[in-house]
Amino acid sequence: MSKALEVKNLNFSYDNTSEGPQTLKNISFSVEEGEYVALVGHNGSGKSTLAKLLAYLLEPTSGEVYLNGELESEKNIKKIRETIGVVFQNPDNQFIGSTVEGDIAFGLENRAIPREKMIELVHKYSHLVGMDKYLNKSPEELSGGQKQRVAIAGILALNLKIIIFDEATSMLDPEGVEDIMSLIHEMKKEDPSLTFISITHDIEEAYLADRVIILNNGEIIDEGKPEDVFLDEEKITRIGLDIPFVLKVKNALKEKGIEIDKSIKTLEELSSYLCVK
Amino acid sequence: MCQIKTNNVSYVYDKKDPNRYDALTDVNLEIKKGDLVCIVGKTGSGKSTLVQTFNALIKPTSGYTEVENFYITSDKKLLKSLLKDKSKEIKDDNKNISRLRKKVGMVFQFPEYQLFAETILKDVMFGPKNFGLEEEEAKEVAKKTLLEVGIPESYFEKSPFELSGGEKRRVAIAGILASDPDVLVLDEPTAGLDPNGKKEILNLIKKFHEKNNKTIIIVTHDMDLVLNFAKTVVVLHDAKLIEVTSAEKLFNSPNLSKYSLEIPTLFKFINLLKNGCFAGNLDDIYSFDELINRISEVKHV
Repeated sequence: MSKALEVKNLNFSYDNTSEGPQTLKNISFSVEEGEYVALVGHNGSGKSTLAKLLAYLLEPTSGEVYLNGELESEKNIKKIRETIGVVFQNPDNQFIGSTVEGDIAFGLENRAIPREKMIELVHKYSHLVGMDKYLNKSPEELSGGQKQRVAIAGILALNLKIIIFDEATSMLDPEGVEDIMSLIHEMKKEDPSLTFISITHDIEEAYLADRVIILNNGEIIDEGKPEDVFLDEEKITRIGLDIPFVLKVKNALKEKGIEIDKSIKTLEELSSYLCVK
Repeated sequence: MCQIKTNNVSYVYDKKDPNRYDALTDVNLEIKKGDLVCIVGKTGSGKSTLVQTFNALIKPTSGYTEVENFYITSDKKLLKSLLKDKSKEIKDDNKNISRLRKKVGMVFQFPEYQLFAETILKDVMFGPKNFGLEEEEAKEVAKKTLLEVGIPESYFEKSPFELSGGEKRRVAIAGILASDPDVLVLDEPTAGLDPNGKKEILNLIKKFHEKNNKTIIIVTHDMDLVLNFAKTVVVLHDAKLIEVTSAEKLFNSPNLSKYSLEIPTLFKFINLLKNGCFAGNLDDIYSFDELINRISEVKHV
């Protein structure tokens, strides 16, 4: 496997000096091609800033970000835009078109996709996110969740290699979140080289990722498999997060003297384990 | 005592649109003073439309919403007949709508996106000033409210945009609380917040509720919030009122999936255990600790 993204000794402060408040401190990590990585941390931990730095929407104060081995800079900005797409939390800041159709088409137009193909893609992706019945609606006629769906369709339609969700489903209902996440899983199945980075404090979602990176006050404090990094309940709670429900049950039972096998990861597995023995 | 009552409330967005849909159909709901109500239902079920009739941001296209002595409808004939029938004040001009809006405070989804003033204090003063307080009075009220929501004095002159997500939301909510509404309506108050931020907001709402027995109405998809918070749960589905119930009853009812409602993880797990023939009775379990105790009782036998 090759590294889709590599971050080396990254520092960032909004006043662009090393004296002011440091939003990100000495961050290093990499993301393999095709990997699904969840970046978690409380509000204000620096997650969104990191997303912007990965996509070169911000420039590091010091340190580097490499995209497929190439240093991200002003020089290769076109390539960065053609490779990485970010969906942010606030859909109002991202709605550009005057209608749903126009908004999803915007990125495609910028890439000079032929009209026929563009119409096809707009229909395909608006359908996949459940917005095909709203193509002629204007943003003020849509709910927050619907606008988020449109923003997601606009990015997915571009067929990029790296997709970053920055709390992109926060306004959807649980069913909507599930729809979008299974869409992502489908797309990853179709194209195993698709890299997906999810910035979230939905711990149950992060639990499904290949790998979890935990940010706290601008620093990476842990990374690894979800079942390992979320194990230390006390630590996770202290930094303002929750642990996944399954692990919570396992920990509570352990305190009562009931050890549950480490191989048990899902609610279903845990339930059958408790029912048999 | 009934504080809010909807009488056959229906709402149709844009009657001329051939693709129009009914946002609300014949909703009859009563909300008691001092209740803590969660309104649930999938996206598009009419939740937000319904609560917006409570302070006349939306007027029912037929039927009417009654908030104490205010009547809200866009049906002029109906309003006229209501006027004739009852001696109550009918509130339909702009001045009265302002009184209604002082009574029913509305916190929208992601209220921090609506912060605008250059300082936190000025932002919170905006509401009270708008409802007629003098500059100095408004300042006093705003200061008091900010402290109540846990924003320290050293922050008052800062820009609201320097705050974290959870803090911004507390400031935005303070902006509504500062007008001291009798009814507080919140649309998805915990969306997008981390677990700590969620806890802070819920404690804040609880405090306001308990302080003067204020009525709280929360529109939410967060079923854990419903489980831990609601005294009354209102279920909407396809623009219709389905039931008025309690959280315990709702999460034990087979109708949940029919209305596309998410089951709280705790109940999902309890159901899995029941279906897997767990060797213990789980029918009276409503909390995490109860569940853990029951499992360990069974396992230690």
